Amino acid sequence: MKKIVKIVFYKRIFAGIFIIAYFSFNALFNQYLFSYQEQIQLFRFDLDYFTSFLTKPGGLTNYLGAFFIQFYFIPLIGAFIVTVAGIAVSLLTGYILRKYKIFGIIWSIIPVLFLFFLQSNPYFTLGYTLGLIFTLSSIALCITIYNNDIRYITQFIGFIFLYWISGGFSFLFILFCSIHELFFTKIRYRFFISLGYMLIAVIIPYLAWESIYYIPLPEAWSSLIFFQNSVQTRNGFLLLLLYYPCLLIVAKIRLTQLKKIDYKFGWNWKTFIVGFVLIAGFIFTVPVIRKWDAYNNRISTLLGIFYNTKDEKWDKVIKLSSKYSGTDPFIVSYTNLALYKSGQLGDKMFNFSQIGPRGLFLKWEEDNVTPIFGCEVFYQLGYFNEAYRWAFEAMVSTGQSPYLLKRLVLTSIINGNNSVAEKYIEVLNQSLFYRKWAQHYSDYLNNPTLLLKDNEINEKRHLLIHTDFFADLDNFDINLIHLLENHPENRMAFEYYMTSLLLGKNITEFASNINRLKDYGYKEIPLHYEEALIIYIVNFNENFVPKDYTIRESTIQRFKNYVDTYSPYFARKKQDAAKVLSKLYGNTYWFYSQFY
Amino acid sequence: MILSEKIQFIFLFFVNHYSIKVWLILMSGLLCACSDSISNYSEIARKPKIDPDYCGITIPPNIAPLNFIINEEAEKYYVQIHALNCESINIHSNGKNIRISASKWKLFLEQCKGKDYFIEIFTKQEGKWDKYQTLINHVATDSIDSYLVYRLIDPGFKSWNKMGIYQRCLENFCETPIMVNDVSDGNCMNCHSFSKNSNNLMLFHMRGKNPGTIIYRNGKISRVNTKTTQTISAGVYPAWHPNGRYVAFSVNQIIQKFHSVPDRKIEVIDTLSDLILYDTETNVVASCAEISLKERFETFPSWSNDGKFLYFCSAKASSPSKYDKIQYDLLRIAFNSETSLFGEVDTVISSSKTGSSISFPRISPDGKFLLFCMSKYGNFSIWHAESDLYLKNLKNGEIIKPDINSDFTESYHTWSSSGRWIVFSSRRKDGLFTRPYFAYFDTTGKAFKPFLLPQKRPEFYKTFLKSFNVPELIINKVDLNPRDFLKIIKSDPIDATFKSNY
Repeated sequence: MKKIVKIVFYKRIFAGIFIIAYFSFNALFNQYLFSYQEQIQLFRFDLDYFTSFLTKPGGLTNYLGAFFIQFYFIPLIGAFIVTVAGIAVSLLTGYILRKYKIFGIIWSIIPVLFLFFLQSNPYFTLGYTLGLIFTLSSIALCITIYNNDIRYITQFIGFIFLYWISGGFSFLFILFCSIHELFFTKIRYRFFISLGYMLIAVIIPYLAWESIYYIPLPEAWSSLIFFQNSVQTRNGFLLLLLYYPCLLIVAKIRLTQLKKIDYKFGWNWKTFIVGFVLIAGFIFTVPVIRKWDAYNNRISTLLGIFYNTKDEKWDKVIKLSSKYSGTDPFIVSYTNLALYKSGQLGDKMFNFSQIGPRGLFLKWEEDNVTPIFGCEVFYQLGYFNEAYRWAFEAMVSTGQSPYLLKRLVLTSIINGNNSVAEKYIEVLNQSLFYRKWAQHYSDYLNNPTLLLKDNEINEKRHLLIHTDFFADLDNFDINLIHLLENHPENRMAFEYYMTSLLLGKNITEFASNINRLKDYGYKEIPLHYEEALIIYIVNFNENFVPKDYTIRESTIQRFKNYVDTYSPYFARKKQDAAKVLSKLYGNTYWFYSQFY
Repeated sequence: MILSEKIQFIFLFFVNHYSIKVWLILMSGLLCACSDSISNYSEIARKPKIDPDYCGITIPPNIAPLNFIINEEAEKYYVQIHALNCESINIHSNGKNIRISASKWKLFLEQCKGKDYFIEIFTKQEGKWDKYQTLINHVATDSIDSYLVYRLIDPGFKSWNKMGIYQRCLENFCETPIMVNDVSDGNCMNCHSFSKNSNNLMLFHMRGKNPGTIIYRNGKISRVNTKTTQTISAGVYPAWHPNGRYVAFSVNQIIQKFHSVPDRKIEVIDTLSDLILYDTETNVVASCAEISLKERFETFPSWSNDGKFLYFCSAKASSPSKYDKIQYDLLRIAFNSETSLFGEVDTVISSSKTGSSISFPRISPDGKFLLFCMSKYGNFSIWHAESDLYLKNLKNGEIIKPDINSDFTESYHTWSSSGRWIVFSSRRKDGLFTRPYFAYFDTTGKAFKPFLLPQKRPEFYKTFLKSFNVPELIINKVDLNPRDFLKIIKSDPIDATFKSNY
């Protein structure tokens, strides 16, 4: 009796620590991921939205997943939901395994660890976990039915029902049922029953495909279990699904070999420590493993940047970027945007990775990520048609999302297309967390005088383009010139133009525009502009410092030091000089212009 | 919004959509039985605001119920639809959405053929009933073709995702897919076309993955590659010859440009454009100099009802930088379907006279009228807000602008098989999302106020973010569904062969 109490105690402690660790990790490290998942979908309380999920087997599970994901609006709730889902998987797994005399909490924790890694992929949504939960629940229900006839009927109906709700997950169910009948019952006709189950698994989806769903034939079986966005995640997920039948078969074979009736994993201080070390090890290795997993440093930085850009927290964007040393164009362009918005672009851009003029705008790609990330800079620049276009294209390729719909509402209102804005507002109005925002802008449309009081819209409207030009998708500096022709006072367009000249190493054009600094109220020449001017002056022996401005003595001195450091390497390999100079002058325009 | 409000919002959604609805239906039935009219009310000296605008319209006797929203604030609504010697329809509602019983509506329209019918709208505020001015519509004696085929697409620029060609029964609200790209690797598909409103003779193009022109003829589906080494591209804008054997296509090289000013979004420009003739029996693509001049852009073929002339739009070839100077004339070329030879070209409408560019010519089934679009320049009229529909009387040459246009785009259009109805694309509701409108044409060519395709849920259009593209009226249902195309999609297309100087 004492021993049982002790086991329960250890078990509870272990489970408690695991749950806390799981929740904490989700809350601390996955908040941006949850936010991103919430931002790329829009759950609508609308019948048409609901029915749109029923076009594929498993749609209902996806619908429920989308329902819960809307609560990721508060990332902490996201962590809570994911943790609860993990606990549900663990409890159901434990319950099922106990029915087969496989004891030990570790067996029921393994699927949660799988899920932990799988969930790190931004496109592995809660629907997948819910599919697993529904399947495990169905299995748990069926194996508790001891009357054979009732069990067969339940399993048959359960498969059809589960197929409709959770698509391909139903095959895990039917596989489990087959294994159950084959290995764990002694019915005379168990082979035929198992065979019957397999036939059902082939026939029912085919009939559904033939009569209900308009999908490619293989999808009739693979819907919802064949993860498409990453091979790594797909394989991991299939492994998780195979874990259950494999464990069952292996356990059965081992039990038969050992002539034991159950598999026990005794709880004492040794096993407790082993378990604890296992969890601790898992927690500490996750960040390392995640570097090669779908949720790597680049993606986590990008999701963080996206999260903070959405709320215009530019300092946080810069902070996140400073921890990233790569040259991902998404991150570089958002970093430059954040630097501009916080007034630091001309002074600090070379403190961060730069990739040439392409680092200011994303290159158009017809995928489901580029348009989402690319539209922001156009909006900030006052290039509203492009902001609208990118947001719309993103919505077409990824589906309706709060972030994109908000952008479409604002760009439409700014452009004076109120009827179109109203449409997007109506869509947002069907959501739970964006109704208030939608109603706010709906009031604007009903009462245009309110619109005049909105600073953001008025400021942006001031930048409306009046002289038409076509977007140049390859040479963005040409668009900037057009923006400046339309609104010479557009400071962001000016700074982006100057930056594109610097990044394109077009010093002559840069110098010819430097006199415009005064028009934009610059009190002093930004540091990198000074650095570029020095190069120009040295190369062309022509003083181009604008009137009423001077180049700071510290910059001149630093340039001299740069030249002194560089001099010994004139005759040597460029890489040798770069190695030395990057440490001291890697954050200067001189270094960029010479070594990039 | 505080949490309790959010919970309330979720609760109300489910309650609204499910249980209460049943209760409301039962109660409204009870109410209808108790009080079918309101005797005590004040009159409001204006018409009620309803959406869609189903007021002063002429409708076919076989159209689905014209459900609508009453955009007036009130606690209760009462609608009476009545006509002389017809059984009236009475609807009580606690909400703005008015849904008409399909069976009652069908009976009502049968009794109402050739008559006006009236919509009385009452609203109740603070215990008092108000009555708005009566809305009057007319039921024509001429039926409309039973099915409308359209492509549902995002009115986007370059990307696409889910896309499909659907057929909607106009007599009820049943919509079924003919083809969806879920079964064809998510490819693009476009330009569905029918011969003389027939549901047995159709084609559409598949782009991207699994490219080719899918032709449904004599109960068989085939996939053809109409691109030959001698032609600019595979077939684009199609037109079936009335004999159902030939199809005229434009072949185009197209570029897109994106505007920057608020009221314009995109320009679709032809850089090369010719016409070809495809023979569905011999699988031969042919062309002749008159319809494939290097110095001109020929596009939008359309046959006369007797098949003796091929109408098409033609403009002087110009560089894309002069896109806003390109104006298309309407020409026609004689055609002998027995010899498959083209004859002389003559000008039907010159853009230099109209000062506008012509697109989408379509001749009425009786051959008396020509309906077409005119915009300032170019041919991709859907992105031109100024594009309107015009009607040319082919007997006296008179061109009129029928009173069916709006301040926004009117574009693609089709005649019904009887020639008494047209369906056309319009962006009049919001300037972006294309919707199908129907208008009645009498025998003299007089057009009547158009009405929007009715939907089961009257609020449908408010949040529907897809465009109804290329609306085509057909007599009956196309007996195809997306699964029927699976085999043909996966097999290799048949390559057409080229023959010049037809």
